[in-house]
Formats: sequence, structure tokens, C-alpha cells
Amino acid sequence: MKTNVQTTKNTPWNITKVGHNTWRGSFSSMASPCEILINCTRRQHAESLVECAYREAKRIESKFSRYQEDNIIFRINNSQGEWVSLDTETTEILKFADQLFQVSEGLFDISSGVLRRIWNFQTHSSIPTQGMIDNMLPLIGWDKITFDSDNQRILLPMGMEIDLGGIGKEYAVDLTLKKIQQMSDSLGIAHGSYLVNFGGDIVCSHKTKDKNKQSESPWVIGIETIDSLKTAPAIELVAGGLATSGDSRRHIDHEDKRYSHIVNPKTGWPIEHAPHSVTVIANTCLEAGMLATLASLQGRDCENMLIDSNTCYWIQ
Amino acid sequence: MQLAKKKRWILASAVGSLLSTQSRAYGADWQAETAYRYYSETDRVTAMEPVLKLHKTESDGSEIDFSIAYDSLSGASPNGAAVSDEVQTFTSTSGAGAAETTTAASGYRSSRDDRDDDDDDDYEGDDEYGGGVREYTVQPGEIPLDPDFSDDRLSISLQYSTPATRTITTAIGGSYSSESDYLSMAINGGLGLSFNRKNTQLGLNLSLAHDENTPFGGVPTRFSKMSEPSSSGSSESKTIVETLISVTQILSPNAVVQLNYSAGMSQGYHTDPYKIITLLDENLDILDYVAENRPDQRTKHSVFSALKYHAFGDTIDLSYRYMWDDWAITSTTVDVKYRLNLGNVFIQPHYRHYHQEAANFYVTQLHSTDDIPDHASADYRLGTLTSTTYGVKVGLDLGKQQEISFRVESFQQEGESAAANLDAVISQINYKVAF
Repeated sequence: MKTNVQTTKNTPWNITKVGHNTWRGSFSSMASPCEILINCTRRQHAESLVECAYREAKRIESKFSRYQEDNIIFRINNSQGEWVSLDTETTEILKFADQLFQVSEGLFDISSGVLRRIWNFQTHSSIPTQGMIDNMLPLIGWDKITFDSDNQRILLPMGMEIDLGGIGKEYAVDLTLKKIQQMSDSLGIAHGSYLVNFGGDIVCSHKTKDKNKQSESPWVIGIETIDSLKTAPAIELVAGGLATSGDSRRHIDHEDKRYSHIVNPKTGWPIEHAPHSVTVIANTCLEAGMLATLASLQGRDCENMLIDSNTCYWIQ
Repeated sequence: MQLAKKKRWILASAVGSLLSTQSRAYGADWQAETAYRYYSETDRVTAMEPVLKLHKTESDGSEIDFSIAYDSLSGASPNGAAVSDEVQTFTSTSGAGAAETTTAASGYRSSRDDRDDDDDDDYEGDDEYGGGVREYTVQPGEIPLDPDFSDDRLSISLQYSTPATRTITTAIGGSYSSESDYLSMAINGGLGLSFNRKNTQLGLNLSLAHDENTPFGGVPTRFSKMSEPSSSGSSESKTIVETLISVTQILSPNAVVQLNYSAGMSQGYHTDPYKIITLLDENLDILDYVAENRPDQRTKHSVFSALKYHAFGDTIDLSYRYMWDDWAITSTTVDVKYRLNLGNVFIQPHYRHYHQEAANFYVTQLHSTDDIPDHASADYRLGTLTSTTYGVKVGLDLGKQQEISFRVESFQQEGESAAANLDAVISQINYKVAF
């Protein structure tokens, strides 16, 4: 007997049909709504792909979340001034963070998370005093950390912390797409198009045998606008990544001055004149996200940097 | 303007590099390694050995290692008798139906030793045998070789280590190996302590092994003559206790040194039941051949030091070992490897030198006119030996967490008896994958 099982399985994700041969899988991870759009013919395949995406997102979340007490980030942040051995994946991510620190001349710093203790952008409350900031600055600086990538280990001075929040979600988006593609290959899906969206950080791909064939319809991505009077722009993307830095909801308004949520790790103060939101399109979600972040860190020069680096962007 | 473009280029390549390494599977932390080794001595033994190793690292830092190896040896092996200017005829004992002789060749066993770099020495006199109701003759001037021997061995080992606290690791393990006439079982336990911000590591290890030897045709009575064979039982055993203390010190991000001391005591049957000694009469003519006899106790010590150094993207590995025991055997081993890293390819030349002084009961023959000694063996592996190994290993990173490598080595050995002189070629292919 052949039965069509609708989503009666007890899974941590949901799947719905949203169009002709198009499926939408959803779950929650990394404190964001996560969405997988799949263009393939069989529901069974779509389910396998969503399951695979869910596992990868959860794997990365539990491995790198700073809110968990049994992962590598916890071990590093509680190492009491001793060397911590790293696995290869963590080593590679830290190498990447190190390159970002160099290329941003110290503005992108994964050790700056301790500033969260004094800057609370969620509650839109008061701003810290210079004295509070001065107490924090000695605990910030990737250059104070000994990272030995050859021997896969790291040594943090006492009291310092690292946080991969600035990289993790974009990284997870790209890696999840890779997993979906690998799974799709092993399922033998000939023409599958996929979109991964974790809370606005997006990557998509499509597969066609004929490279010259333009029959693939692009994914259409709407950008959330801050000003409700403006119409949301729609971006058509066939393959590539899109990410946004900044969030209109995360800032502090204090004495008629708006403090952006991007803090300069060198001064401990928010970057001035940073745009509310910068959206960048690049080859991968990670590249788009890092370009958006690096541009935001430039403050007033944000747009110049995006123009000079030949980036496709949208500033609000 | 140029700066921004350059930064974007740096960023794009950093992203590319991170995501391409990530296409390797990290979710499961299994690593598998398979190897196939072929060892061939000129005119003597050939050995084939497929190996499978599995390694897993858990997220809590625990590690599991499993390995299974099978070796199959065949060829001709020295029986211990001296070279003569006459035709020599030998009979070999064996149980009914066992039409094979088994023994192991020193070069093979010693070349296998280069895998373990901590607690052992080149001399292995423990795991070899022969048998088979057969007669064979050896021409004048030729080294007496037992011509058709074969031996299959299966060995399995399992090791588990887990961090007990932030600075203490505990480990336990076991191993099992079996041949048609030999069985060995071992268990071990260890403790690792790190201090000095994990720059210094102290390791303590204790192992206990029990070997059971069941030679074809029974255990020969000590010094019994080949012309009047006699047996003192069907099996013998041996118990080995070993301790190892090691200190590893990280000197800089580029250099690590290691110092080990190990002491081992074994009690029981150390004799090779298939080895014989030529017995000469007063005219120095061959009177007979007698079974050898070794002491039933052995205490051995070894110190080992190693330095691993990274420079210019390459790695140099140096090690030195000195071993001594209460049989008066002493040995030194020097080993040098240089790994030249060329992107996806590496080339690693290897040099090894080994020298050993003879055991105090080593003889080349016995005389009927003399008193029979307490212990005597003509096994060339207990005599003075010098060996040199030259080799090269070439590895290729295939991406997707896969590596393939090839190794070719030439092994040359010289010693005081003619049987000790041998040349061998070792070739090996390795494939590693993580999944």
C-alpha cells in the first residue's frame, strides 16, 4: 500500500509545499528563524535535505555557541590562562578570524564580546561611563592572544573571552548549503535549486546541466526596510550570498544621540555615523557578511569602501 | 581605492580557504587509515601486511583508537646452524598435518619497530617459530635456511583515553594477537598530567602482557639433539610487565622535545623453539645440532629522546634510543626524518642507523668437548648487528580530508654470523580519510 505521509512525523523541523516543485523547510537555530527553500520534484528528497540542513545548523550551533557549557568556546573561555587544544575546524575558523583582524586593522576582533557586559543594545538603556569602558579595554585585543595554528592550540590571558557570533551564522549558512548539495548529489537529484536563509543571512545555488541554459528562474529576495513608507526592494539572485550588518532594532538612543550596535574594540565606543543597515551581495554568505561588517566598521566611510571594493550593496 | 580592492581580495581568498577546508567533513570526527606494506628480503622472507586503523575524537576530548592488522610471511629463514663446508641435512619438527614452518625474520620485525617510537628496541626474540615434519639440505658454504616457512598473524588493539580533569588524562587499552602457534594478550593503563600551562606533559604507563607459545611438535627439551629429538611439553608461556615514564616539553611554537624511560621485566619462556645450534666434535666436524636455551628472565631498560622542529614550513624529526638488558645486549638507534612540504605534496627522506652488541650467551656453535653452558643461542638476532635504513616517503593531499602516501625503504644489515647479513626492501602505500 502506498501512502503519502504528510508532516505527521515528529521532527524538529517543518516542511510545506509553497509552489510547483518548491518546498519550504523551517526550524529554529542560532536564535533565528531558519528557512530552507528547495526546488526539486520529490517531497521525500526535500525532507531528507531539510533534515540534513537542520543537523548541520544544530551541529555548528552547539559547537560554537557561547551559551553552551560543554563546547570548545566554553573550554577556551574558561581555560584559566592555559593552552587549549583545538580541532581542525576550530583552528580554521580562528585562522579566518585572525585574517579579518589583520585586514580590518584591528576593528574586527572576536575578543571584543566582553563589551556586551556594559553595552546592552537589547534594552535600549543607558550608556556606560568612560571609567567602565577603561576597565574593559585591557581584556580586549586579539593580538594579546597566542594562537598557535601549526600545533592547533590557543592561549588566552586570564579574563579574556572569544565569541564567534560575528562569523558563525554566515559560516553556518554556507556550510549548510554545501551539506545540502552533497546530500543532493548522493540522492541523485539532477536539477535542484536551493536557498538557505538563517535570519536574513542567505545563500542560494542552482544546478543545471546546461550552463548556457537560462531557464533557471532566480530566487527573489526581499529586503526589509526600516522606513515603512519605502517599498521593499526585491533582489533576484540565482546563486550567491547575501548578508546584512546592522539592525534597526539594535541601538541605543541617549540624549538625542543614536549609538549604533557596532562597537570599536579599540576605543570601546560605538562606531559613529555607521549606517543602520548594510546589505551586501557576494559569492558566498560569509564573504557578503564580512564585507558588510567591515564596511559598517568604517563609519562615515562605509559607502566609499563598498564602492571602492566593487561590491554590490544596499545601504539604509 | 587600491587598498579596498586588495582588502576585498584578501577577504575573498580567506573565505575561499575557510569554506574549502570546511567541505571536508567535520561533523563526524572519524579518521581512517589503511596501509598495505610489502617487505622483501633478498632470497629470504617476504611479508605482506594490510592494516586498518580507526580514530575518533569525541567533543569532550575523549579519543578512541582501534587497529587491526594481518601479516602474512613466507620464504626462507635462518635456523641458527653455522655455515659448513659439508652438505648439511636438517629435520624440522612439527605436528601431524602441519605442513608449514613459521618463523619471523629480524629485518622484518625490526623494520616494523620504527612505528613505535617510545618503548621498544630493535631486538625482538619473542615471536617466531618453525615446524613441519620435513627434511631439507643445505649446500656447502651456504647459510642454513629453513626453506619454506610461512606465518600468518592477526593482531587487534583498542585504546581509549579521556580527560579526567582539565590537566589529567586517563587511558586504558588492550591488545590481542594470534598466530597458529603463538598467542599474545596485553592490557595497559596510563595517566597523563599536564602542567606549566600545558607546556609540559608527564605520562605514566603500565602494561601487562601474557604470551603463550605452542610450537609444532612440542617444546623441545633444552639442548636436545636433532638426532634424538625430545620434548618437554606442549606449550610454554611468558609474562611481561613494562612501565614507561615520558616527559614532553613544548619549547616554542616550533619545537617539541620528548624524553622517555622504560623498564620491563619478563618471566618465562624466552627460547625460540625452532632455533638450533651446531654442535662440533673435537675435530671441529659437525656432530649434531642441539635446541637452543635462553634464560627464563629478562630485565631491560631503554631511554628515548626525540625532537620535532618546524622551520620554513618543513618539519624535522630526530630521535635517539639506547637500550640495555641483563643479557648484556645493548643497542642504539638514531632516526632522522625531514618532511619537505610543497603545497599539496610532501616529500620525506628517512635515515635510520641501528647498532646492537651481542647477548652474553650468544654463540656461533657449541663444542662437545666443552661443558654444556646454562644458556646458549645461535640466533643471529642476539649477536652483534648493525643495520642502516634509507628511504623516502611521498604524500599527496587529495583534498576532502584525504591523503595518500607511498614509502620505499632499503634496509641493510650486517652482523658477526653470515646469517645476519641481509638486504631488504620495504614498500608501503597508505590512504587516510576523515569522515
